Amino acid sequence: MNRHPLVLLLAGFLLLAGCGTAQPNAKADFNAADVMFLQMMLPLHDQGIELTGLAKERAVRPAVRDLATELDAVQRKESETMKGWLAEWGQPTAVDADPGAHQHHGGLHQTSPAEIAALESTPDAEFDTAFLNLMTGHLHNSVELTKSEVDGGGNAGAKELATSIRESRSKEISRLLGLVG
Amino acid sequence: MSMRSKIAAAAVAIGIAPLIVVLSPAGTASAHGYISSPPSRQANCAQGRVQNCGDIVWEPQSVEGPKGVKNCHGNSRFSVLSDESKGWPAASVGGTVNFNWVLTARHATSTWEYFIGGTRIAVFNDGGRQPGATVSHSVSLGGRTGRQKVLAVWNIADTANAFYACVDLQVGGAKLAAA
Repeated sequence: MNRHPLVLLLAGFLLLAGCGTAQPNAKADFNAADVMFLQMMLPLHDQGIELTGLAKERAVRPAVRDLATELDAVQRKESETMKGWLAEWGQPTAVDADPGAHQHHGGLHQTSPAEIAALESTPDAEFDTAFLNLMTGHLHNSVELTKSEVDGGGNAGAKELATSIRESRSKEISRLLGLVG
Repeated sequence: MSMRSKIAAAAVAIGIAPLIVVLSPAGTASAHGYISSPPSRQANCAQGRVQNCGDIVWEPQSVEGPKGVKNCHGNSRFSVLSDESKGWPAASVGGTVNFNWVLTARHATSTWEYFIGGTRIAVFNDGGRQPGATVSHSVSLGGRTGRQKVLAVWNIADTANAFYACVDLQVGGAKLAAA
């Protein structure tokens, strides 16, 4: 079982970068873990925004639509912050634009275009349940991605964001489960 | 500050944080799946309906163990899920139940199995396929009534492991019944 795709990916990145100890960049005060975290969280947020965008329009129950609207705003705001940091650090915003590009690492546990398309074509009567389950799984993956940054990040802002995502997404998962259960 | 945080802080201080990231398995419990509705025990923990569940609240999708286990925690470290004294709430249902899964990794699947009291009441054979965007199974409870505990098992096709979820039900009863 591919237990540690992120770790393997990060390890590979560090090897490729030839910086086994990943000294923080004194000038901008960030390390390879920070960059990888932001580059991996950004596509997750893009997928999350697609899910919440659909639910804002299609969710049947007002409580589901309200939660989608809140999550949509939070993810957009965080994405702007993350893009800003990468630009400031002179780093690209993505390792690779193709969400499937890392399948050979065991996959990045993302929400695939096929899953988003499936939600899009879900009939209204089943939409809320499908959205709640997909979004919950998506947020679990977001929470999981924060761990490497909390443990190995070097930039105070990025680490703070990771901690905030971990805590706030866990609360939102609780709300999603309350709505689906 | 937890021991883990202390270790991480110390690692940063002496500049070996990246090594910890690469080597630490505890920080990277990988993702999989569980039943969200009717709420499984791990869903009740993550949702906050049941308190003092421990680390399972952070990763209800990680109840993984070898195939063939017949308990609610799949022999994983989340043994709290098999603690019958926890007062697990039971969801009120009819004679046929739709079980909905949250998946965080779509592993190739051999079967989905449902048990009550050691008897297998349903099996869905996916023949090694990857699950779709949503997974839902309609399961007849075979005329059983009253409080029932369903053990659901997701058998992965290409590993020796499975994922486990127990769902407490009140069949034909009124509303949510406490344990």
